[in-house]
Amino acid sequence: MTQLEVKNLKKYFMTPAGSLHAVDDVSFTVEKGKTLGVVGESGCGKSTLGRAILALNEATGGQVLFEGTDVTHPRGSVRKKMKREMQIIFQDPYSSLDSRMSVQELIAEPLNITGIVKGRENVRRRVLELMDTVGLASRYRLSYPHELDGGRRQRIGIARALAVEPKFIVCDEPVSALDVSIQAQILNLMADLQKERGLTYIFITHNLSVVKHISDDILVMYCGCLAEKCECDDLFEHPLHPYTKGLLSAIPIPNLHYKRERTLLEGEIVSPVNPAPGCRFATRCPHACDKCRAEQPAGREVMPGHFVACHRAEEINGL
Amino acid sequence: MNELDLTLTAEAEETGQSRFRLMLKRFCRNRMAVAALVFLTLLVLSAVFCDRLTPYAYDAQNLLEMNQTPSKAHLLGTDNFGRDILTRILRGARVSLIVSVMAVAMSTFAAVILGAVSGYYGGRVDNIIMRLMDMLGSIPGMLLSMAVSAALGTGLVKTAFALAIASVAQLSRQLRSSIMLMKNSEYIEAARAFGGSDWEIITKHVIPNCMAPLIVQISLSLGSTIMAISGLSFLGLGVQPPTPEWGQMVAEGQSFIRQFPHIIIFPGLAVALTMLAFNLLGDGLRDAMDPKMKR
Repeated sequence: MTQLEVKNLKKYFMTPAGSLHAVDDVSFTVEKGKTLGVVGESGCGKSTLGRAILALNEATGGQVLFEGTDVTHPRGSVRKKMKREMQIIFQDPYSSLDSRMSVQELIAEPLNITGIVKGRENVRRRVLELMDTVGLASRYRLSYPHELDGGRRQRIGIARALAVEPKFIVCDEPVSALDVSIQAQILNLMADLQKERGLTYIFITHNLSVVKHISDDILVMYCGCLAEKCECDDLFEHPLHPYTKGLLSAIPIPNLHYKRERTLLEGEIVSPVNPAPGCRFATRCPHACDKCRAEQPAGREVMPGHFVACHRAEEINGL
Repeated sequence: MNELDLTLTAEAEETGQSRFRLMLKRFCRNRMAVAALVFLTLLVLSAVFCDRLTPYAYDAQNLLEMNQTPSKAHLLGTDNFGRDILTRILRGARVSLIVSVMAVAMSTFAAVILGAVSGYYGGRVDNIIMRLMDMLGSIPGMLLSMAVSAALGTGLVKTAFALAIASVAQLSRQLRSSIMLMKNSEYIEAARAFGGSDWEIITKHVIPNCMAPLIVQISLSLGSTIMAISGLSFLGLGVQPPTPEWGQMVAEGQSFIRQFPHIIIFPGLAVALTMLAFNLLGDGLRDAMDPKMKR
């Protein structure tokens, strides 16, 4: 069942230099209970995409449908309902928690704002349950976030997101601020929670091994546009977009004697401010032709479930 | 669940007080701040009970005991009308404290609203408010207070209002800048992701996080307002005789500065010490209220 449908989503920011196309015409769907990994280099619009879906930065154009309801510009009761069903886990567990609030107050905040749990005693009980769910010992109840380590802080962030019992969570690089051993703990916690509660995730990251570990589908973004979207295994085995190929060949392999063909990407990323017509990747693409420089490719389903935004996808891959 | 219930009851006793106690503990560690608090408490108490603390009335003239230097009978001496200076200083504290607290309360109230609105919403609202504040701020504070109190006349509330107007611009500008820094932080965005309204975000996150600079600023303003009241009274625009006020006492004593310097030294000292105490108190409170400080 399709839970989230994003149609031609656009988010432009007005800057002194011109209009910055942070997300440009991105469309995809996410099935209920699945994880969509969103990858791409820094500044390619991954986080902006996540925030536009949650209407934290309202989209400039396009539509976001959650279970059939348009939540692109939510108002009134739709907004209220949406904020309970769609949540976010932030990247930085340091700045996303108000340092003046204790753990108890932090986790109680969403309960109080949404009003789903009423009465001091009930809120307190629910907070302790949530702390138990995310693996925080109840003795940290009165601690302040600065007294805890990054992993525990991120657990608070997860507890806060879970407090309103959402169906869908945007995870905005939730582990990139943590060290590797803690990353695994948090990823496993998130996977367990997904299994238990049937949560749907959009998992934003620039770490390809993380995304491979946790995703069902993967969406590759380049400079605000969709480059490729397909099932996780499919992407790692048969990447079709030249950018994806370059990205995957950059994954380090811990084997000294392994020789492989490298697709090196040269050149600079085009500026997302007032971008020229044509494919954003054309400046760096080894296969770019005149059509690529003139016309922006739309995402096409070249194989069942495999979307690629490249004019020459079939040609290059011999399909 | 048993353990849960136990912790709940234990917590019921802790919460609400634990944080305040922690704050108190941290505050007490700061000797200077505690000394300042003690000094200010004594000042407030003696301002309230000044009529019973000394055997003299603040306005009783005794021309036989004019211009006496400090002695056992008159601990701080007498002025040129033979009035007891200690009595007049204590009585003057009453005026200074009342007026400065009123003035700072008025300006803080206005500045919190103006600063929060313009810092949080930004854009045109911010522009309008800040240009108005620029207009206020472009006139030197003391001149503005003098003009306002000359226009309104004298009296406790009017003087307080005149002083409040002069400090609103600076205070609201400071609040605005700390709010602007804060409004883009992720925890504000997180609160918005839960559907928090602007009101909830401003009252639960924005203002509490501005409290530390605000409290320091309130404390500093109390000190400088006391200075400003004295200034106004020194010029004859503030508190009118026979009600004693420190600045006015300095003004009255200035013609005798060569022969009897004690007439103006003691009221001057009262102004200086009170200002110092408010500043030290503000520093101590800031350190105590910030949970990021090491315990």
